[in-house]
Amino acid sequence: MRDIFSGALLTVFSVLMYWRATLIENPGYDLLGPGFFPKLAIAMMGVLSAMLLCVAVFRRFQNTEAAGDVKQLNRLLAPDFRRQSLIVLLLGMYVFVLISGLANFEVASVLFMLTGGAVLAPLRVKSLIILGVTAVLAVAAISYTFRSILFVNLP
Amino acid sequence: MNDLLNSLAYMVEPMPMLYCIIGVVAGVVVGAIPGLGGGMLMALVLPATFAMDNLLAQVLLIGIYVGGVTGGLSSAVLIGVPGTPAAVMTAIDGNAMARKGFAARALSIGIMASLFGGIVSWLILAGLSAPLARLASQLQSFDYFVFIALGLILIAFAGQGSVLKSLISGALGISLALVGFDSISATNRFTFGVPSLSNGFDLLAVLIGAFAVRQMLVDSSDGRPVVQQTSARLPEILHELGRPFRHFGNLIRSSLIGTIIGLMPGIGANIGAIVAYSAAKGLSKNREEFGHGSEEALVASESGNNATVGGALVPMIALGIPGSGQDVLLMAALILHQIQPGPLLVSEHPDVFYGIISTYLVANIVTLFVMVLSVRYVRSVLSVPKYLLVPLVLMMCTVGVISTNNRVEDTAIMFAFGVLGLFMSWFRFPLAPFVIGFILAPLAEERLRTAAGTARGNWLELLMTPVPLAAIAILIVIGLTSLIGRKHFRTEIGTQPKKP
Repeated sequence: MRDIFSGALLTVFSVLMYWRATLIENPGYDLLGPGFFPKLAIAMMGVLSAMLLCVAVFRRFQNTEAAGDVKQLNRLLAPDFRRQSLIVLLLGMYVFVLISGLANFEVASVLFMLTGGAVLAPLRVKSLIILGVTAVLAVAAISYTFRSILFVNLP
Repeated sequence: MNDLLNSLAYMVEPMPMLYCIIGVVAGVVVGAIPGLGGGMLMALVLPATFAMDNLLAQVLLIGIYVGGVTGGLSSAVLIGVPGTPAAVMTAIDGNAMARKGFAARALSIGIMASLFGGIVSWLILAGLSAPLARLASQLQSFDYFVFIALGLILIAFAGQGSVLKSLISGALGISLALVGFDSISATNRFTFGVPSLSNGFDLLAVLIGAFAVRQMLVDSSDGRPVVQQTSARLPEILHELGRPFRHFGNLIRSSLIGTIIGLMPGIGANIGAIVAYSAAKGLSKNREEFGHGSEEALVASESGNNATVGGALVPMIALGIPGSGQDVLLMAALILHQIQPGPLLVSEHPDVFYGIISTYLVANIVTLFVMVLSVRYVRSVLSVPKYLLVPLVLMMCTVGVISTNNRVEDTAIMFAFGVLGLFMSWFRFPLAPFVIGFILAPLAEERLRTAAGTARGNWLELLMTPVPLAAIAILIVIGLTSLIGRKHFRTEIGTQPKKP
């Protein structure tokens, strides 16, 4: 199922990107032009993605009996998507806050470390205290090092 | 020869030695923590190298690289969890030995075999790189393009997992590298009207996102620390250091196998270890001991995986084609200092060329001492819980990306490529072809356009030269071997009796 989804997604992506590549104008400074290499790479990706999709669909229809085993195996191998998704969401929000300037680096970082750690930490008072202390100390140390010693313009 | 000796003399000066020790210690520690690895740390450190002297930056990164590969040994032996993929085979026999009460012996064998593998591959690196670079400097633009294309295809065929997915991953890396302003035609490509995309995707933000952020997101699936099971004492480790030399033939063979595997682009230390392990098992008189705490297995695995590092450095410095993900980061550090790795490196920057070779040797020797002295401390590092590690590393990635160009917008690129890396991990797409494709695409395009212009579009004239013809022959052989191998594998699987 994963291969069908990724194959289909990449095929659609390749078609759209190829269409965009055809719109690149060639001012005629060189023989191939700026659109040739992107078209070559994207066409290759498109063909390969379509092949991946076809192979995956063919296998799925051929091995209907094994589908249950594959599902079970995938479930066993699958990581905890919910935790990962939460961390992705938190990291996205952290980056957004930094870029948009909604909060400065120190506030945003402490909040990110606390919330990110809380998602992963076992629900125990001791863990949360360690997390809080580490977040404040680590952000203070990084902020001092980068702002005062390395003169980096942190938001 | 003089250049090599001079750079070796430079390496024992206090400053480079200090950088080497710092790199190796950091690599050993991070390599020991399952799920992290030297590649992630190299990506994290990369922005800091911008302000360093170019050679010292390489010393630090190679120290991390070598330390990271060897560091996986500690956790593999002590807790049975490979710190890095390269230590997979070590974890089987090393941990079995530790469980029998021979943890110190297993560590000693692993440490010394790693050093031996490193030295053998260094000899080949030192002997082969300069002649290969001189030969490569005579190549035409199209030959160079063919080498890059061949390298990318070899990665797909020789790497682990699906060939199709590896090729797609490489093509995706190439496609994303072409976003931005094309300097030859003064045209924007795939910028969708967004002005900031004209600069393309910042290399560092992409690498940090694809390596470090992706790894942290993958690791965030659980927050548990690694559990300790066994330990080893320093005097015992020192006492057993000579033990691998009882398997001298195995040491030499596995080191050579690892080096040759490393020479092929994108295969990696894990395959080096597996092939060396398989060869040792096939030729051993005590095959039944393999998997149950065999010294021969440990010797083969550790010398094989460490030797791949030296082998992989050969195409990186001689041809400018990275052999692994970590080599991409070494290349990126050179590019940050306006140095283009490749055939001209030996003539234009001999200090860097021979410096990399010398660093590799010194880093291997330093790793021996660091590993022997650090084993007891590494055990305590293994207990750092991920709920502290993951957010901390992600925050440091963000700071690293901002500090490179003093531009906070680059963090969005880092985030996007981290998420892309996570998706690739979910859908089982390998990362190495993607990053290698990303870093090589601009060079490949430039060479192809130059070659086409020189030949005035006569493709037959370009193809009918020795290098492209040899490349086509290699591709046909690889394709056929792969097809036959798969068919044979399927037949073997098909003939196995079904379990009731």
